[in-house]
Amino acid sequence: MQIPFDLTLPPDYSAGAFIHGASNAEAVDALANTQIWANNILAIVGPKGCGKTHLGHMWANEKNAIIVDGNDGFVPRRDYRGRALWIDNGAQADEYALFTLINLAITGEIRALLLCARDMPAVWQVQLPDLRSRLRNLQTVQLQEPDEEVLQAIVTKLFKDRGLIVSKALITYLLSHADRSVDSLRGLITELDKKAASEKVNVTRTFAAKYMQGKLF
Amino acid sequence: MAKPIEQTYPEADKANDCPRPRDVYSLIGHSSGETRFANMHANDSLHHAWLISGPSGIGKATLAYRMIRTVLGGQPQTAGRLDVAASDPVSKRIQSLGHGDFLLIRRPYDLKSKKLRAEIPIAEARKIGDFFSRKASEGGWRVCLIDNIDDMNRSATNALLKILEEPPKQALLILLSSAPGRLLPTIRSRCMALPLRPVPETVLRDWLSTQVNAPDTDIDAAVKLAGGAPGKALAYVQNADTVLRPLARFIGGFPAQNARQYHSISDTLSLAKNAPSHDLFWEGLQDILHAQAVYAATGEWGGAFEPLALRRDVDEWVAVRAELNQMRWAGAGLNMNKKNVLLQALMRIGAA
Amino acid sequence: MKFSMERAALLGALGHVQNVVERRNTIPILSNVLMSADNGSINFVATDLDIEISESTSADVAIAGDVTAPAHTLYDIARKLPDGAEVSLSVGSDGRLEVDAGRSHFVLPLLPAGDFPKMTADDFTHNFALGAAELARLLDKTKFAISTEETRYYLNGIYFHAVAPEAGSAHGKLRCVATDGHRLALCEMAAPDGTDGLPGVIIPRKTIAELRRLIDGLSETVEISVSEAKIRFKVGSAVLTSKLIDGTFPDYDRVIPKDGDKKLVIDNGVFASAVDRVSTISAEKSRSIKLTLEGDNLTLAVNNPEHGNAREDLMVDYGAENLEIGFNAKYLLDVTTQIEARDVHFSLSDPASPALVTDPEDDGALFVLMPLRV
Repeated sequence: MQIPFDLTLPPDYSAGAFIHGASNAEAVDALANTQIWANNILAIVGPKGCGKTHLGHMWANEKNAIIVDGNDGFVPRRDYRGRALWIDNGAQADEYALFTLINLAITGEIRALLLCARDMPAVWQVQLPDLRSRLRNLQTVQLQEPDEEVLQAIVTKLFKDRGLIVSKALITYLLSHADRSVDSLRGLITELDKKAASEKVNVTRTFAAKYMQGKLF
Repeated sequence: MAKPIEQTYPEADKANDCPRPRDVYSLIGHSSGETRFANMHANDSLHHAWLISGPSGIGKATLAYRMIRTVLGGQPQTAGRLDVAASDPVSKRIQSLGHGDFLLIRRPYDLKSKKLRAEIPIAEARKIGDFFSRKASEGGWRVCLIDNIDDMNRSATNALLKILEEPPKQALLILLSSAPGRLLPTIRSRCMALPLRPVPETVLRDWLSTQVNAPDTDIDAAVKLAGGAPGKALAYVQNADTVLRPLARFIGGFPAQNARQYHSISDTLSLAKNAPSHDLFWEGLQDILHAQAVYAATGEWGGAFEPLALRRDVDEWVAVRAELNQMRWAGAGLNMNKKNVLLQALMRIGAA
Repeated sequence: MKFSMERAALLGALGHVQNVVERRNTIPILSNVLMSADNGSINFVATDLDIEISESTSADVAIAGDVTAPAHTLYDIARKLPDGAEVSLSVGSDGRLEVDAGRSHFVLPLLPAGDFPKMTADDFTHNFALGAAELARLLDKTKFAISTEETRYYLNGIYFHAVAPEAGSAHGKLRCVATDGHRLALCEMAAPDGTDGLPGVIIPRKTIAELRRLIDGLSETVEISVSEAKIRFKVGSAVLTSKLIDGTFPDYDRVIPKDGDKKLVIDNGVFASAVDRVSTISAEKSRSIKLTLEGDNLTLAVNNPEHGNAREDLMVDYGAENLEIGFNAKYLLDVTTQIEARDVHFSLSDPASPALVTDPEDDGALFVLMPLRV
């Protein structure tokens, strides 16, 4: 069996591609009102795949913010001053960096600071006691797992990000037969795409059914 | 050695003895549908897929072409209407099918078998995906017209679903159908529905009178026989001598049976040069039999000319009409002698 | 309209443009070539609605005008006229095209110029130039890997883009990439001036074929212009304008292996003929062939229960651990055809990972092949 490339298209993080629903309304609202963030800082938390990164990109694009990733071990730089800043994967960022940047946001030297993470800042594993207390007091907004309608739209988009346009029948089938978390759906879609690409066939409902059944045995 | 003149191929979207819809610039009736589209276009809120439905010949394609001319940059002459002029350069390129952002999907002409295909195959439907996967030729909208979707086979329709569900920006699909009830619900649900009605007789009569200089009797008969289809009404009037008069004579002859007349009619109509008239005559005949059945049941005559002076039950008329339909298509299918088929039909009507 | 020109000039111009006209066409205007006569020159244009090719040539224009006439017919007429003939074309009183040359006289039907497709000469954002031979190389090394599958329509062309200079280097690259999901081909050259910030565009497969025909054997400069929707190539007096694919090309860099630790060097010609021989046995679509590397021996094998077995052993330059990996034989041969050096270099890691294939004499090209599970 021919193994295919794992080719992905860059995900569409534009504002137009974001799927709005009850599960993310609060976060969207909060992001639109940067001026009322307590101490110019907002933390957005939620499960994997619920839109934190997408929202982060949308906000960063609008505010011309500097984008850093906690996983990259970044170090605060002088040119952050006067700018908006988005730290993705905030829980993984270096503690001293976080502490410095939070303080700069409090004094207003950083115009606005957005943190994204899976868990509430209050429960992040930190050693610095001063940082711990700052994190506990951060304004936080939660993203929920999306509801049915939003889920359908997200699944459509996940397929589209892989360059596949699929039928409603397939989406309905997937949502009724697979684990409904966005993260696992994303994994499933990747697998489906790879298998279909390998056999050079279309991703249809019939194909998905065959794949899912094969998987169970 | 001179090469033969370029042929024009038979076109599936051209009705018998009627002009091709893309060559027509006047729309009879349907003004509310047109205005609705014009307004949405002006407000930049055009839905990406439209389903125009209604009986054949009433103007669905004519309206579609007006929409297409406007969307592709043609300038309507009247506010709230889609009356782009024939002289507009966009109109010319659409007429020639040489507009890079207009794709016409219809039953294709097979160059090998030299016949029009009976349905729209998936190879044609694939052109839709290819077309929308390319950027626009003239920098604006891309439009695809399917004339008509009833001719699409199942796999072709499936290929269409994807584009309907996820169209690119500035893409427009117009689907024409005379049997929307038989369409896949998944297709119907994605289209803005624009059902059209047959053009009312008064409107048709007024318009027809401005098109031709013909006696009122001809106009009346043509309007009655056309069933709300302007092109057909015009065709009847233009073929008055070969179609309307023989029909009138045939019907008026009853209860007597005039074999010589039947022979003469079928002889004339089976001549090759009279092929359009032949088909129109048949349609007229079938239309009159239908009106006759209604007359027998209700006493109301809605057909052309006068009712046939033959006393029969509704059931018998219905049976005769069905039989004639059988004869017509069986004859055509078996390539039988046109004259014989028509002669038998004419004689069958009078026979008890 | 009325003009005359030498047969050779007419043949040359028509020859360049008529190939894009589809042969079995049921749309009359698309079978025609547009001829615009003015000011001592004629512009010929032909199109299939996706690609437009035009050619200008000088002529003796008595009356200016625009007409369209059947392209293939006119071309065939020009071909069959004798060398050196002076051909005169004019619109007769009955509105048809009269073609006269010596004692031959032809009459062809015309269609109005207003019916002919218009491909707008867009707002090109980038203009640059390169040699025809350089462009041909970029295309030849990559076009075999273009996908023909319709669902992933964004793979049905070559991704043509500019790559920023690497750290320490002054010049960026102009790069072509094609992939069908199973193999990838990449070819680049030093970026010419004018390519800064060039947006990546996907050039459709048929355009590549027409372009390649147009520049075949030429050594002139090709001027390239790019906009968001179109790409234009000008070489000599011929201009090819094409629509671009409306899609996003995937992030191909992620699939190019960088850490292959098993290096194989083998004589390209020997390898190719061995692969070809051994795969004769294989009847299936995938023509799968198993490569077994042990020390300095490479065994090529095909095991086909119904059709038989085949096996060939080759001496190779290989020093890593033993490895067994399968490939589609045709994919292997497509790549070996692109290698110009005597040897071909493989960089492998494990039987489920892509193989990187390079040409030691051309560091501007690389190929990636995904294996088969054997």
